[in-house]
Amino acid sequence: MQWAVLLFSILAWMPFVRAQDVAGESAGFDRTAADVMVLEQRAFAALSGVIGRLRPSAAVPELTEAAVAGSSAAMEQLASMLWYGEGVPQSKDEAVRMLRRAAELGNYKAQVFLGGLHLFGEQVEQDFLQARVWFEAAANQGDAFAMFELAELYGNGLGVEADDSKRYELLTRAAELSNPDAQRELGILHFHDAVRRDYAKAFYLLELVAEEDKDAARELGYQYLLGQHGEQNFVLAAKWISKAVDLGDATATLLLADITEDGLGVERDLEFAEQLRAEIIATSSAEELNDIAWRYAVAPQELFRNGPLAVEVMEDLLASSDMVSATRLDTLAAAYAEAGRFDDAIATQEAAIAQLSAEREPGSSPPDLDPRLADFRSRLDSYRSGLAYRLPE
Amino acid sequence: MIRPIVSCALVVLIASAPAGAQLLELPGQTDSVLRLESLDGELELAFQAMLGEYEAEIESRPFDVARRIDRCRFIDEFAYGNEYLSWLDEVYALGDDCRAEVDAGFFNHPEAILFRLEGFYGDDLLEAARPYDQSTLRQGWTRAQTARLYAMLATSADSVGNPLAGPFAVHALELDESADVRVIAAASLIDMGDKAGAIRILRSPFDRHTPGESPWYFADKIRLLALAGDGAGVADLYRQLKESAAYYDTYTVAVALRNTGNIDDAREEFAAAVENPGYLQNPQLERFRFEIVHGTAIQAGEAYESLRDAGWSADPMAVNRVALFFEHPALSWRARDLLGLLGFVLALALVGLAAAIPVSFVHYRGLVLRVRKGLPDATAGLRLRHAWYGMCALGSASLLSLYCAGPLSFFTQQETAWGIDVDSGLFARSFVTQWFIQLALFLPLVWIAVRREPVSARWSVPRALIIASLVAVVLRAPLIIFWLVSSDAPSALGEGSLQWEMLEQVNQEFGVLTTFWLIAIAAPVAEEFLFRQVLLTTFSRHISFWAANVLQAVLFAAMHLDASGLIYIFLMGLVAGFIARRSGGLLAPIVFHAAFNLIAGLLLLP
Repeated sequence: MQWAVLLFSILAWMPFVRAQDVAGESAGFDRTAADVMVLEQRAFAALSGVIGRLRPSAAVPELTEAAVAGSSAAMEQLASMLWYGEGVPQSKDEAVRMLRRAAELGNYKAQVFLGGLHLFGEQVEQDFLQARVWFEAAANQGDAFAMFELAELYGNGLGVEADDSKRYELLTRAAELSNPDAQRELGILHFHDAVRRDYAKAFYLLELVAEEDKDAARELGYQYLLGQHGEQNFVLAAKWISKAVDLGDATATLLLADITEDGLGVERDLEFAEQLRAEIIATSSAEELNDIAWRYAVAPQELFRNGPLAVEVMEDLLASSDMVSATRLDTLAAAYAEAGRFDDAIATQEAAIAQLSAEREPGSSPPDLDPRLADFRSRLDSYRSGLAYRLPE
Repeated sequence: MIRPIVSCALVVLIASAPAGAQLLELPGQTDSVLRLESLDGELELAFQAMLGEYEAEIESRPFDVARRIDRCRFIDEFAYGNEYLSWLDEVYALGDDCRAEVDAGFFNHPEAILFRLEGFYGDDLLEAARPYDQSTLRQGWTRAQTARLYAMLATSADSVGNPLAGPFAVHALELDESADVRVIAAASLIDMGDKAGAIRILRSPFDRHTPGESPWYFADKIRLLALAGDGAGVADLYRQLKESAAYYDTYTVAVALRNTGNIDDAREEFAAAVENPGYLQNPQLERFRFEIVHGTAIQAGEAYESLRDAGWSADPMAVNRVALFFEHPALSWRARDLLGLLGFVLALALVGLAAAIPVSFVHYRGLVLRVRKGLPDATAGLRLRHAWYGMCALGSASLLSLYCAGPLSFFTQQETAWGIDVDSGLFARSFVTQWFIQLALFLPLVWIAVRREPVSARWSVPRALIIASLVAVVLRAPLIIFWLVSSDAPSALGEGSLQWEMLEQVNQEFGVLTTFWLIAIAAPVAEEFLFRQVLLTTFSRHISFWAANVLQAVLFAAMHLDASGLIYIFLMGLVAGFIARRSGGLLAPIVFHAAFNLIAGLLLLP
């Protein structure tokens, strides 16, 4: 019986939603603002199960009435129910129309929703400008998520001219409003941005989110480990690096292997370190292996360098694949240099330089103009004078 | 790109506007009037340009309610900042139109609601905004909007002393870490015992204020951090404040530094407070108080010299010099310090003169009566000179006990009940000491009384106990009834009485045993001996008993320095005198006095 009543109520109201065309004429000028408020409250009470049963469909009549009267919050709620097909038959077209109306009435959730649709080109055509406009409207109302998205648009120059200071401003405001993504990004920015360097703030922000964010946890562990930007604390470093490993971060696993090998903040355990590395090496792609070996060969901190391991990884990689690339030879040469085998390093680096011209695609710039060439040559020179290459800190 | 330029131009124009406004007041200055008119025109152009910017933006994005309201706010602020404009009415009208337009299109929009609420203050705001405390009324509100609501609620609750200010502020900060209610929230958390929470709030890196712009706000933050016990935080903020080179509340900072153990910086700040006292009444005294505890003999001596440099009135009775002597006896005295000791001698002389007034009155009145009736002079027992000595002992005990009260100043505009600037804990100590001195000074009198006055007790001990206690209960009946009827009444009765204020302080400093020793033993014994034994007996040998009784009761009431309880204490003195006469001994009045004090003590003291 209840089902029948429910079904009837949905069926009875659904055509009404369409017929009244909520999206078109629902400004509700015949209702006073107080009426709209009352209807809106009733609708959301119904939705949360205060009135009747906790079931989205049960609140559809009330939500519809409030939406027709001009409640943008009700419109947005209905739209998202329509979009996901919760309690009403799914209709993305209808949902977008209703979202647009709600967004035009200033509802921030609808504005964010619509911004997201434009950003990813879902159901509407991809349009960064539109995305920016809607995110901006929601951000002006103080929505942290919209601020973060907008910051990303400003950072990447999508739909707007790239603007670092604007991005920083937005990230700061979103972080103040407890947006975890913004807190992480801002924390990392405060570590690495030369102009806005603020280590106290960076530690504060990353510690806010590191429990649940692998990037933040790894960064925090890394900073405590190096101690360049504040206090060096191996115990905290181990804690956060392990946290990042638990959250599934591959780079953090390598860091954990490094500190386990040296017994920094954790008990020294060579076997475990070996096992961790083997695990990562076994599960990494060729590209990732190249990155790992490169890092072990040229990291600025002694702690993170491991010449023999880099040599081993690169030799295996080059042996297992028949594709020889200049980049990989360059990595191998750096690994040889780090391991102290400068003769091999010189020979391999020369092979890498030769490979640059072999890799040249027809019609592309001549090998002399390859941007990598200068780097390769300077590394070759340093190997010749018996110096291994180091990344700048 | 245009907008920054226009707004810069506007800022420059607005900044230069007051200069124009001042020129207008000088008569006959045509140049300045012309300048003002041209300024007026320039401002109008800039204003219209800015308005055009806003309107273009709103036209392209009609849904951006926050920008619409920014426009209204701009118009309001423009009117507020340029009150001399000839076209000010038009600006006001534009502002009204802007508000009406927002309300017509977006009445229930959170931005519009918040904008309307911004027009209220204090209790009105609390009333208008309270409905939105319910989350059901906040559908479609962003986190920041809710935070703004709670920050508004907190600020206005704080301005009217509403205790909800703290919880509102804490909630606002939970939602938005930059909410400008940090101090309200932290103070309330410290009150509730959540010091860690207060420290977290105060040390958040998302404080929009900078020490250079809001140094007094930072001083307040330092005070709260010290209360929360965060010495590192105090040191950190103090460093920032120093770097900003702004003018801040040095005394508050000095106290915070002292309380967190940073003595060297505190010393510097106490010295700075002497240069820039702000609202502080006696900066030299505060510095001296600090140095006498934390400084070396030389530093304390220097602080005293700087205090004494203000003149003899800074230390009229050398109380501060004696305090310094107790702490650092080796410091040599200067000639001017002896002036203070002269002040003490003068004060003693005044006490003696004051005590002589009632005594001489009794003496001459008694002489007249004896001459009229042809009676012989009284020669036995306690004489009038003993009464004079007793009263002098009472006064000098008070004066002497001041030397235990630590550094103090008799000249202050602070709202203290005693009218002197003194550390309340040390003052309680001096109050207790006063009774020891008094009892010691009474000893010769007691010796004379025991030798010369015959004991003629007419009441048995149980009878004295029962009757005296019953009379005390009857006399305290109003207080007992008030206490039974309303729990607030006793504190209302006790308030404003210096004696009770002091007793509460003693209770806090020395515990309940000392307090009850004071009110149930020391005070009854000493006072009954002086007033009912010495004064009443000697006076009644010269004048009639009733006249003597009234006089000793008047002196007894005057000694209590309590304007509000004057008549009540006078009545109590009369009754005690009567009981002394009827019982023929001191036991009954002492028990009566002790019971009278005990009842109030039990009811009033926490």
